[in-house]
Amino acid sequence: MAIQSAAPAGGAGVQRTSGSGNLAELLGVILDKGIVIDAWARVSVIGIEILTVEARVVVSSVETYLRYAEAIGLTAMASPPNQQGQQTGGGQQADGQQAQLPAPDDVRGYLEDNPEGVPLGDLQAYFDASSNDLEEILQTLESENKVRQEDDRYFPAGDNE
Amino acid sequence: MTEATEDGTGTYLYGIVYADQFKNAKEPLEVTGVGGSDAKVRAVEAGDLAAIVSDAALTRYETNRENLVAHETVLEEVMKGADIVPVAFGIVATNDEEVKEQLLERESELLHQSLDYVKGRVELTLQVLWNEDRLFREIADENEEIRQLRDAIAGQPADAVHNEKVQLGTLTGQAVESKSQAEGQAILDALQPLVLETTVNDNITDTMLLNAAFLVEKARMSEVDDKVNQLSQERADRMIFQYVGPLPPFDFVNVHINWQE
Amino acid sequence: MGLISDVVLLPITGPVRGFIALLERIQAELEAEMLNEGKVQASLMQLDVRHQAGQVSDAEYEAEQSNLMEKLNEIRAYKEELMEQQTEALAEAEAETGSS
Repeated sequence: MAIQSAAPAGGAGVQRTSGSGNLAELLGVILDKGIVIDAWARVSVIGIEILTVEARVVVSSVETYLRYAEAIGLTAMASPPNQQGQQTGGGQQADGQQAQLPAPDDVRGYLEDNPEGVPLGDLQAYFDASSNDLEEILQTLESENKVRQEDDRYFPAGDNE
Repeated sequence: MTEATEDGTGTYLYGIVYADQFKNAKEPLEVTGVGGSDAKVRAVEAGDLAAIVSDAALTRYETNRENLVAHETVLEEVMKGADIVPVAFGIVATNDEEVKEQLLERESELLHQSLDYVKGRVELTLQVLWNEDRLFREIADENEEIRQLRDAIAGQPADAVHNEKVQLGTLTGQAVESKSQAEGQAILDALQPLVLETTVNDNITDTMLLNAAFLVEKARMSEVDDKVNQLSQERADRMIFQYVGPLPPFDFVNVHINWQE
Repeated sequence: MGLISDVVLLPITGPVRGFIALLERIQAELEAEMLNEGKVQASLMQLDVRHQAGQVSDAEYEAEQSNLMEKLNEIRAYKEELMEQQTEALAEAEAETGSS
């Protein structure tokens, strides 16, 4: 059900694109907006109002809820070991969307951006990496004095730049 | 009024500009209008106003890629030199005279007001979608109740836990909604200081968290670009940003002209 | 694609009641997803995202986009037809009662 995995190279940011290059976007903009002149449109006033009365956002329905339940169910497979709850259920699908390991510099960079300290769970979420992988990276960084740990939060350390 | 066959040639409308701004453009514009290769884009003038038009069949225009893109392309071409009050897609007047008399002259005050409102301004739109894998993982991480229900259900035969699944889905749906609302608002708050007006439209999909249009001073476009870029980078891997513009300010000109005869 | 071609257009009988019936019919069909433009737009959006992420080839993208746009066009044309029928019916009714 998930339609996309991790977005391409996050560091690139986003480019502004033109309207003419973006059909899906145009649909929400040039139809029924701007100046509308009834006499010269193909449909009457009431018609336009009906045309735009739509249940856009998915209306609550059992079908939708089941879809969400499936999606959440999949997260059980990807749960890192220190999450609560047993990992029951067949391992139908490995988490094929695993991103590559973050570079240690990226980890340190993230900690620098968050000087109030970052718990391991947040690092996992941000880098989409397992706690084991991250702990290895963090240990290496600690031994290089680039990172320190206090209670269960990680902080950048040292002033090498 | 039957469609399917042409009822003759009419005047297809794209938008309204101040005539002197449009004179900056070479006329006829080197861009194909809606309705095919014969449709040269030109202006119909009355006083200081000009309507951007092209000859076109008096028919219903299909909402297909070719027509929609043609309509927008004409507007973008004109926008290079003029501030434009856009007309919705598919509006075809009977002839030039009607455009001059019924629209430009009769509605002159309204059009002047609209033009003054959009002077030096453009529309930028931002749609932000969740990376779905990440969304559901975050929801699971942040919600003990959901985790427990998920784990209780896992591995059970589907019919046995139907009600629980619906409940899990309902809780998840609520979490999706509240996360989307919060994250969407945070993005809006960051952009508010840089834009003149904001219109928030309905989300198109259930994993869209923001669907907004901004009215922006042309001179501040690059500031908004930088901010959107920054917001996108901060959320890399969690969200997908779709950022479009400059557009004619469709979301900020809602003019409905209905003549009671 | 003939998505809507086998749907029978609602016969209009009597203006006001007909109009309400029309709204109900449209509502029902919205729920049945036959008239739901929003859904098509959502599909188009998701297609864009998948294409950008490289999950769909250019050729597939063009083809699927065409399909969806055609469906959207049919939906809008159908709605316009319904509304036109209703407008004509209203006009006729007015013409009848107008003579006094």
